[in-house]
Amino acid sequence: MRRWFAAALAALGLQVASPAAAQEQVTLVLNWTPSGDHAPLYYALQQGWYREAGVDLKLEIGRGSGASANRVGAGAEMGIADLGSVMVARGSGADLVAVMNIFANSPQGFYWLKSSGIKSVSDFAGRRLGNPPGDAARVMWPAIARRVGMDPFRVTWVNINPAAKPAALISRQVDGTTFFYNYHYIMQREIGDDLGFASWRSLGLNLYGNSLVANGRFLREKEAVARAVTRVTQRAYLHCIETPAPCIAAMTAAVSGIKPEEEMQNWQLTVSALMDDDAFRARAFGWFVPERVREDLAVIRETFGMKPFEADTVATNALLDTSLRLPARPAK
Amino acid sequence: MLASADQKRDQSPETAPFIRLRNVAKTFMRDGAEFKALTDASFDVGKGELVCLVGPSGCGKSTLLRILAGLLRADQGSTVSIGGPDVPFEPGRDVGIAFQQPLLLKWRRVLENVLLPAQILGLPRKASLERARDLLHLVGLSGAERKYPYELSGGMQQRVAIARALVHDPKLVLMDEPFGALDALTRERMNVELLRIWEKSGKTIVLVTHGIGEAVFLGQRVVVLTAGPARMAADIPIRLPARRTLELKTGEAFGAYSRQIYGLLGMS
Amino acid sequence: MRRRTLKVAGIAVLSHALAVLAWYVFVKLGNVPEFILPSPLATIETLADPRYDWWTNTAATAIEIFGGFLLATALGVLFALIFTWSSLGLALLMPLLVTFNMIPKVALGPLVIVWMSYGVVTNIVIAFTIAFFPILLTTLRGLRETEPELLELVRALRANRWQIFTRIQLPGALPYLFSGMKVGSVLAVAGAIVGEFIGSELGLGYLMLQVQVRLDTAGMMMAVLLISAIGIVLYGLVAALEALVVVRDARIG
Repeated sequence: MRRWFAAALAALGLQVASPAAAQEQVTLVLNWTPSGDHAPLYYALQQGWYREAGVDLKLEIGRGSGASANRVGAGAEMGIADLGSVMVARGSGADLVAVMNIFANSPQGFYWLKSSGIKSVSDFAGRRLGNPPGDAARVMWPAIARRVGMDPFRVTWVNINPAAKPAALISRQVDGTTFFYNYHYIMQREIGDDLGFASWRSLGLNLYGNSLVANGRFLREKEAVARAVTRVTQRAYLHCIETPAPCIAAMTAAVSGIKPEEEMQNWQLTVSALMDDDAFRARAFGWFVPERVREDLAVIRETFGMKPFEADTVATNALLDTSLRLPARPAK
Repeated sequence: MLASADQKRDQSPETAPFIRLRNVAKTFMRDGAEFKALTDASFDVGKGELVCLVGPSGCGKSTLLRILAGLLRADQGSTVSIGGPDVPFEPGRDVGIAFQQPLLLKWRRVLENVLLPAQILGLPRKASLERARDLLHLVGLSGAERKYPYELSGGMQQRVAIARALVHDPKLVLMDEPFGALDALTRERMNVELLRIWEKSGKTIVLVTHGIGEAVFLGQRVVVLTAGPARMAADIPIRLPARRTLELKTGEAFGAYSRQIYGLLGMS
Repeated sequence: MRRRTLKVAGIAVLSHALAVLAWYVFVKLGNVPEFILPSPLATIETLADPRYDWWTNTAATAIEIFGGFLLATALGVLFALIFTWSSLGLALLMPLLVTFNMIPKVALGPLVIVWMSYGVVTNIVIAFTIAFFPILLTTLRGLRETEPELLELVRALRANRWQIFTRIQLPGALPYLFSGMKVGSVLAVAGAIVGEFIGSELGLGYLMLQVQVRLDTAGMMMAVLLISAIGIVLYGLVAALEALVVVRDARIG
């Protein structure tokens, strides 16, 4: 509302002194309900870093990377979505670009109960896996099956709401499922020694994961604003890697239903496994290695029918502040 | 007999009938074909008379009643004349109706139900309220003003309906099988009740019924209609004592009238 | 009559208490794991935990349910009145409404995500779309179900359309309206929760999703109980209003 008013006044040649009117409004759609890996966003909001950069940022809760990619493609200024989902959306004509990498390593992993006789992913033949139709693991199963030398059709899929996956596995409604590694602690806690696990990375599919994405038109018309948001976000992530506690506290204050100690576990898994990347150290936090983006696109193309586009149009490092990098790995 | 009674009446204007029906016919179009609901009904009703129309289904008695109510228009060539210079009749205001079902408004108490016609006609409320109370007393339901219809028996509800038909002081009261939904004993009791109400109120009543006994008991005249095709068979004056009791039904005179009507309806 | 109502209420409370007791016994004796069915104690304890923001989330869902229900009632009655008054309106709009009602609102969800932003208002709208049609249909039926002979009786007195509408059709439609409202109240609850599951950042349905992946089943149970409580309150208000307004004999279902 205020934006229209300010614009109208500006058109009449009048100035509006209110600071709120000078802020750029940006909606950032999350990929799911808030969890530890989103903590830096909440911290930066709480500290007013976005506001200082002239941006009035509003976080929107999401329902999956596919949905958040669609939302950004349809007009939300920015969002968080898994890069694979971004590629698929772009292949369907959506106008969005990944501007900062977050999960440099694939967060996906297969989980199963050892006591059901499964020793590795190859044993999934003839078993029931719990993943809903839109789930990346299910969609990309043929590519994965090929790489482990399996017949992709020998698996039965059971539709499970993503949030119900742990419960479904634990109660043996399914023999296996996929889950994000930053939630590994939940599986560990409930299943303990009986937990069988194989990350996609270990299977040779280290696809880039969650990324900060921007709507294409927004990026073209308001690049400065997109840059400001990206750089604040970089700063926030680095800060929270160094001092996580205040970030978790900021998130707990803003979001209902979460336990600080659990989200801390979530964050630590994210830092140690998902954001541990050489390019983040050498070039900038959030760096996309072009070669890897090309490889990822090739895998995605194997599985989805898409309009062709160049890999370098779907991810860009142009907005990143190259002085912001992951600290060097401490010498062991 | 019919013609001479007519001639007699036509000759003396001071006893001009309240209702005058001549050659009344009504044809409906049903599925593209003509359906004659009524053909050539002709009879009179004097002021303050209670006339019964009796006949089998399809004889046109209900159609006739609706023509009198102003709900249907008789065919061309029919004469339907209600009222005159000495007995003014305003259609739409001077008619009160009671049907076989009491049709009381479930959400209104008894007193408010009786008031319905007065409200529709916009009559002054205070006077109407008083009239309604008096009528409830007349039909023997003095204590029931604040009751809801569901708290009353079928017979009591029908009595409320009769009070409702009278609240706006109509000149003409039409009743279409008003006791048809009641059990036989209640029906007989209501017959006596109706005669008492009619006597006290002095209204002109045209009552349609299936029951031959009921028609003879209530009516000062009985108009017999037959079906296939619908037409009027006879107009019979009933010369029974003015004060009628149920005992009369067992008498010879009553039986004679009943036999006559059975004969006209081809039922003996 | 008061005593009877108290007796009925007392039995209701007793049977609920017994059910809770059975729940407790089942969990304890059956050694049921916490994440499958939490004990009643664990469930109640979550009320004391501030991180759930029970007040805020319950208020948000309650606003969605009540808002959607009130909107459905207002528009349902309005359209029923329009359709009774104008048969042209009925002929034109009713087929569209029937078709729209056939679309499962859950299937509209993914589209809603792309078009609209989330929020309490969006969920009010979703709750409204589910609750609207039953209210419209039953009220419409009530308005049209007048005995033909009663109409003849008042037409003989030259009653005009307005008189028939206000004195006979409208009051006669009230029992039907309340019957529709009772159905609508239940549907409004379902609608609000469906909306929250599809897209929300506040409310009891949102809270359920948030805690579900973390296997906090106690929190989920409490959320479900609170959602039911909102529904019961709404239904109770409708029933109480009906007891005031509609004669006992005329009440339907």
